[in-house]
Amino acid sequence: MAKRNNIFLFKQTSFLRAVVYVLILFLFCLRLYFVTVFQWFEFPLISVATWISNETQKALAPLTTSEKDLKQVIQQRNDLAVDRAEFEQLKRENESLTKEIGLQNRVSYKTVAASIIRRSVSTQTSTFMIDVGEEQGVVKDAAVLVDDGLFVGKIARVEKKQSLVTASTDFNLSTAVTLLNKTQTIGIAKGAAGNLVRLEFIPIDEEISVNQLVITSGLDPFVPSGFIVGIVNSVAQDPEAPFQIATVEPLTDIRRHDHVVVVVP
Amino acid sequence: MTKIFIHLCIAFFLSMIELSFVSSFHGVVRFVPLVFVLSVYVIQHHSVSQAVLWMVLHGLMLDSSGLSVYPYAMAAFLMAGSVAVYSANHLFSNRSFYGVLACALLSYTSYLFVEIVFLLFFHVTSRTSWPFSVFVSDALYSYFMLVVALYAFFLFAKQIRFWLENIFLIPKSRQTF
Repeated sequence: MAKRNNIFLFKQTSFLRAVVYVLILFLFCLRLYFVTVFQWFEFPLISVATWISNETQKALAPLTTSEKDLKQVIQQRNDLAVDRAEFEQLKRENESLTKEIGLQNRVSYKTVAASIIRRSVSTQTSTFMIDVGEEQGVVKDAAVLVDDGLFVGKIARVEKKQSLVTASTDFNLSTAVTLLNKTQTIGIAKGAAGNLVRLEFIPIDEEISVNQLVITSGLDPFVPSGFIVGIVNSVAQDPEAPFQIATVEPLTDIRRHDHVVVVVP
Repeated sequence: MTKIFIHLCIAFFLSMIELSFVSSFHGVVRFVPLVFVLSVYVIQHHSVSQAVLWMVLHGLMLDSSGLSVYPYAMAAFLMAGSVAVYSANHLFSNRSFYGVLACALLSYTSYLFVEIVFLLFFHVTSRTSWPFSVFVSDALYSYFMLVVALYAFFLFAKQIRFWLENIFLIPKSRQTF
C-alpha cells in the first residue's frame, strides 16, 4: 500500500515538474510580449524616482553651494551671454550667406524619442535600457542624445523592442571627439571615475585650456559630428609620455533624465 | 505550483523595482541591494529557502538585459544564495538581528568574491578596464546600504511575516521569531 502511494506521489511530482517546465518554455516563447508589459510598469517607476531625486537635489542645492561657487557660476553665465550674442549674430550671417550661395543643409539624420526603462546600479559601469529597438530603426553604435544635442552614449545592443545604451562615462566606451581649440584637436574620449570622461594621447604641443568644448568628431559610424560631449575640466601632462591628458566634464548627468533621443540612419 | 508562481511573480516584481526605481536615485540610496537583502532576510529570518529563486532570477534579469558589470551575474547570485541557505540552516540564529546580519554579510561577501573572480578573468582575457578603486567604493556603499536596509526590514518584521502568510509562502502556525 505504502509502495503504491509512493509511486502515485512520484507520478504526481513528475507531472507537476513537467507542467512547470512547459510553463517556463511557454513564457520564454512569449518573452517579447513580456518586455512590452514590463515597459508599462518600468517607465513610471523610473520617472517617479528621477523626479524625486531631482527635486531632492534642487532642495539641497542651496545648502551645498558655497559663495565662491556661486560667484564663479554667475561669472560664467555672464561670459556665456556675451558668447551667445556673438553666436546669434554669426548664425544670422551664416544663414544669409548660405541662402546666397545656395548650399543645402548637410545635416540629414532622423531621431527617435525613447524612454529609459532600466538602469545599472554600479558606478563601475554606466548602462541603461531604452524602450526602442530594431522595430523603430535603431542600430548598434547609434548616438544617444538628451536636450537636443548633448551626447550621452552609444547603443551597445539592439533587440526588437528595446536597446541597451552604454553611457559616455562608461569605462569601456570610446568615442571619437574634437576639441574646439585653435587646431581642432581630435582624440578618443573614454569614461573615467567620478562620472567624467578622459581624453588621452593629446600631443604636448596642442593648446588646450579649461572650459573648452569637446564635441563628437563624426569619425564614429552613426555618430554625426557636432554633438556636445562636455567641457574640459582640467589638463595635466602625462608623467610617463610626451602627451597631455584632459579630463572632460559632461554637461549633463544621465541619471537626471528619463527620456533620450536616438539618432537613426 | 502556486508557490512557484508566487515566487516567480515576487522575483520579477522586486527585480523591476531595483532596476527601474532604486537605480534611478542619486547618491548612496541607489546602492541598496533590494532583491538580495529581501531574499536573505526571508531565507534567514522566516526560513523560506525558496527565496533563493528571487536573487537567481534577478541575476538572470541582469544577464539578459546586459546591465550588470560582468556577463554571468546569475552565477554570483547562485553562490550567494547557496551560502545564505547553508548559513541560515547551520551557522546563524534566525531570531536576532545580528544573526540575520551575519548571514547577509557572509553571503554578500561570497557574492563579491565571485564578482572579483569574474572581473579579473575578463580583465585578463578580454582586456576590459576594471577600475579597482571604483569597485571598492561600490562594495563599501553596498555593504552600508545592505545593513541599513536590513535594519529597516527588521523593524517591519511582523508586517512582513503577515504579508508572507497572506500570500501563502509561510504557514500561519510557523513562528520563526
